[in-house]
Amino acid sequence: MSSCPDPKCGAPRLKCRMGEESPSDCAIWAKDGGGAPAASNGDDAPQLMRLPWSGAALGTAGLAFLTGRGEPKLVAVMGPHNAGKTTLLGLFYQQVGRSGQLGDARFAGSYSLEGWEAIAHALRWEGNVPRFPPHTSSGGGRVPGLLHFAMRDGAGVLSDVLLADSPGEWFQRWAIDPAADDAEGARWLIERASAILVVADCAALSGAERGQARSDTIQLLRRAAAERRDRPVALAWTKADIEVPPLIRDAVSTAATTVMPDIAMFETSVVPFERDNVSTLPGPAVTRLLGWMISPLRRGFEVAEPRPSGADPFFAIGVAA
Amino acid sequence: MTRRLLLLGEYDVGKSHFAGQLLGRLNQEQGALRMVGAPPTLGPYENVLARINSGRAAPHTSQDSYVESRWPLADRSGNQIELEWPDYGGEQLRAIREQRSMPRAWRDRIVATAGWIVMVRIAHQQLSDDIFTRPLAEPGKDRQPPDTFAISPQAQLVDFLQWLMFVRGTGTLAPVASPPLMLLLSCWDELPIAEQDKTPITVLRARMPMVAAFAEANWRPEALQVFGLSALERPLREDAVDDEFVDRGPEAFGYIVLPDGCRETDLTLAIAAMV
Repeated sequence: MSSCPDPKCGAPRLKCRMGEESPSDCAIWAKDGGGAPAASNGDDAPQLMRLPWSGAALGTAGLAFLTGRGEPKLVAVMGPHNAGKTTLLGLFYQQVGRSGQLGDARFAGSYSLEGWEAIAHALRWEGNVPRFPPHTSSGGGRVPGLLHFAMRDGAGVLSDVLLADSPGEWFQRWAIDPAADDAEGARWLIERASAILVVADCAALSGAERGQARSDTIQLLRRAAAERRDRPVALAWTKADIEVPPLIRDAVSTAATTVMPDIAMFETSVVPFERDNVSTLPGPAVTRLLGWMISPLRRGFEVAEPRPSGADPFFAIGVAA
Repeated sequence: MTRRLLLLGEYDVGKSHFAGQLLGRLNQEQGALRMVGAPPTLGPYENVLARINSGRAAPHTSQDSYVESRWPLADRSGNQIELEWPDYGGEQLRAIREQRSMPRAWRDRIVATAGWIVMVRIAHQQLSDDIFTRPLAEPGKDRQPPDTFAISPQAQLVDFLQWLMFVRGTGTLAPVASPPLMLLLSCWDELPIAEQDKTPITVLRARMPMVAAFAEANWRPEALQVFGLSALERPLREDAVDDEFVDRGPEAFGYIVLPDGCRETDLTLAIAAMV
């Protein structure tokens, strides 16, 4: 046999998708006459089975493993460099890890636990004062590292969520010129995303370069609106403990709602913050955003449920009273 | 037909003391389960039994000592169970976790067993404070990431349970009915007194919320059990004799905590619940 009968598997040229060290150990390979499933290579070396996920952020190979059980929801987190995107992801993981729940949905697993821990540990008091996670390097990557978690809702339905931990430079370039060579990573993401989360950095929008930050954020929102194709979009004001001048806040909000009237808005921070004399803790703030993230996607149409209209009891089987 | 149960636990979760005390209870034949015939080897447990009979703690098992043992058991209705203790020292589990690969013998074992019992030393598990529980006045300005970090124990355990599910091919779309899972929260007596009166699942949800959520989300309620265990009921020392323990005998000590929080001295109930 020259190739594995599983169309998603590249064995023997690539690693077995099921994690087997040798294709001859794989039941799928053997099923189609590829060889005996047990060791037939004659050596007595212990046969190791590699696990198909490394625990670190998923790449496209890991996605193939995950998508076998359904369509994951890919959330593109977009924002300029240093806007707090990775910190936001760390907050998500800490919140899920601390409660195990989101509304009536329970945490049901993750194939990127090591990747999550790598960013979230910075937010814990473990011998150190919590700090911000390290910057996401733009490197030469064309595909973002994807962080995964699964939730099972009260009705028992499992949903997979993928979050892209991508460098801010990708989006700065893409917002200006979506066809640019160095915006390929952002294009990859926007083409595949199920939902888009745009990050507005309150620190930048209130700092010395706030004029430029306002322009960049509005440009990013307008680009997101142009490319969204009816997908849900949210705007998250990160570092919400920092007061943004009202004129700038209004300008960004108005720009967002003008091009996307249905845009959802959230505020997050790693410290408690106050807005309109209402104090908000980091936990509830991030939980609201997570709730939006795991909410079911609108399909834009209702699934028809054909019902028999006749009185024949044969056709009535399975119809609720 | 004999059901094979797999008892798993990493280093230092209290497997030795549980094995020693369970062996004593099984040989007494007063509980829900008894030993039928002799296990292939009791070598590693003899030393444990000798130590606890003399009122002292068993020495820590070397992480390198690899002993596999199978105990043939039966309940009062005559149902046969084989309790398998692979990797008594816990070294292989650690290696599997670190190298992210699993020897074929382990895979065959996971596929063949009818239930998994995973021991967790629950008093050693606690969520560390983070910015949600202990808000920052201002986050650390030092942007250099620490050189190393340890993956939290609850993330490790979730990942391990995911491997078991993957290797066994349980599927993930619907909650698992078979094989059933028991999370056995060991060294219960180490918990603060206020927590010892709570039910095991309540303690698990508080100390390892991600593990509790993962197990409850992925196993059907009837296929998931969370028990507490205190094999010795009190801390014993390696270098000092507990006279009361000697006088009353090891069989007078130790309990399991049932899902409703009630305590039973019959340690075999923890295994019998999986039949």
